[in-house]
Amino acid sequence: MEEKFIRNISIVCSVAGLALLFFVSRSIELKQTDIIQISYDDIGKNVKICGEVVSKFVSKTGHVFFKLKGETDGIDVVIFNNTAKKFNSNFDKEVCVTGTVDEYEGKLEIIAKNIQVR
Amino acid sequence: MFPEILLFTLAGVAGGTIAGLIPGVHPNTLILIIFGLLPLLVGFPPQAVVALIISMAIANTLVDFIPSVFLGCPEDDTALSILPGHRLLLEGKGLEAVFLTVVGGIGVIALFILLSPLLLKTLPFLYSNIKYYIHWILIAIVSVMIFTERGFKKLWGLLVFSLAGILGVITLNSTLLQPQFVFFPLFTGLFGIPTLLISLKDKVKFPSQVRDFGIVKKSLALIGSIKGFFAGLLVGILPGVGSAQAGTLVQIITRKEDTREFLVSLGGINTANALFAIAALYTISKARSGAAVAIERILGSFSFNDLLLLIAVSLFTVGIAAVVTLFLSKKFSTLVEKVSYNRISLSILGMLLLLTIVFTGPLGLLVLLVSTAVGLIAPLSGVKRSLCMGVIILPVIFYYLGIGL
Repeated sequence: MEEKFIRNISIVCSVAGLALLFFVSRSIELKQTDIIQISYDDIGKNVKICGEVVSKFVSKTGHVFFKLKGETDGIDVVIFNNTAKKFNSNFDKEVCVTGTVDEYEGKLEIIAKNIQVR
Repeated sequence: MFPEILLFTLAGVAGGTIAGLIPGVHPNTLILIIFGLLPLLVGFPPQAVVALIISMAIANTLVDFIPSVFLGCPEDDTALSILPGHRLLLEGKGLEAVFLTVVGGIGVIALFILLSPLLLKTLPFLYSNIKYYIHWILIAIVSVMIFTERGFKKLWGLLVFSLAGILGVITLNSTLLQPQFVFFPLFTGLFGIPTLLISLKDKVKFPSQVRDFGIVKKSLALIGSIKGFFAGLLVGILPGVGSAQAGTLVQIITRKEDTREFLVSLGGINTANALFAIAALYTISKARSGAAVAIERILGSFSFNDLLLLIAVSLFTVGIAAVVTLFLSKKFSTLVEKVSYNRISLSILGMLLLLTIVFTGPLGLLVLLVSTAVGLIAPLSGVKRSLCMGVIILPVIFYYLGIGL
């Protein structure tokens, strides 16, 4: 009886907790970082950067590649196809990108998780 | 160059040992520190710096099992070892549990060296073909896990897998927590804390521990290592597939009563994972681990000679780290016996909460609480706790199916 009670409480807490996590994850906003401040020490960290979309390219498999140009510097951004499906990829001007800093062939890049058109 | 490589390898073993003993500290954290120190290491051969990184990663895969078995503190690659490890610990055979994982690590490196000529030829072929089927393989694994539950428990199994999977999708696809720390509250909540809470509730008494490591049958060591080797192969070549998914696969093909064989396999998977990440760097030019990314960045191009050097460093590291792991497990076994089990469990609970707050802040604490609630459902409804691995299996299935959430 006691175990059943704890189990049922666990189920209620799980469902309520997942709903809370879902809403918190949707509403949480990272502080904006200047592109020039991103370094190799930030690999693996989440950042939010804003700027102008330059040289956008969509691959045959649906991955989106572009350079995000800030006021003083730029960085490559990759949106993998399964993430790109969530967004309208017709953006072509000012956007804010939230994602993880990564490195590809010696250069820093952002693996985007979210895109907001400014 | 030899003295530098030897010295750096020993330093790597020390670093990997420290990272392995502290729950929540991943070798990638130490690798980031090494990157910070790179300007100070400029005068040393890059091969020595790479030896430091690879020895740290491999030593960590062996030592990692000590907190998992003796304290019930898991990381993503040792989470599945908690139950069988804990079971042996409560039979007074904690030392044997750690020894079995060490046997797996040694067995896998022996197999790796024996089969490396064949592997170097077949890895590119395997990589280019298996990746298209990985989601189907994972779906099959999960289906078997759920359908092997008895009667009504199938529904409980489905519920546990789904809740853990949703938890993974929410936390891993968002910016809720920094990626390098997100697994700590997840796995501590799903596997670590429920084990401790149930032990506290059942007023488990810590039995006196057998002072030797036991005798491992050759057949058990061989079969466990072979399973670990092939499961590690999957992890090494496939993006998104970690030791945890590979461990789940091995758990399915291992009979429930073969606790010891499963522990050998788990020890093997972790070492195989580190070794195949090096092999993948050479054969398919893909970095499949934090250590491989670091090696790629330091060496630039990765030659056959570099591969041979790293295999030699790995072999030496496994030897040293095995001795260190067994020595430390004896110390742990004596230490935990002297203190009451309830007190140990409560102290570990406090430490896990503190580490979660330090590493991940209040949001991490929220993830920990939700994970604990999900993690409690499996043991309280009598279904396999490995179904909680849905936390990383479901996001990987979605990734390979191209479902964006």
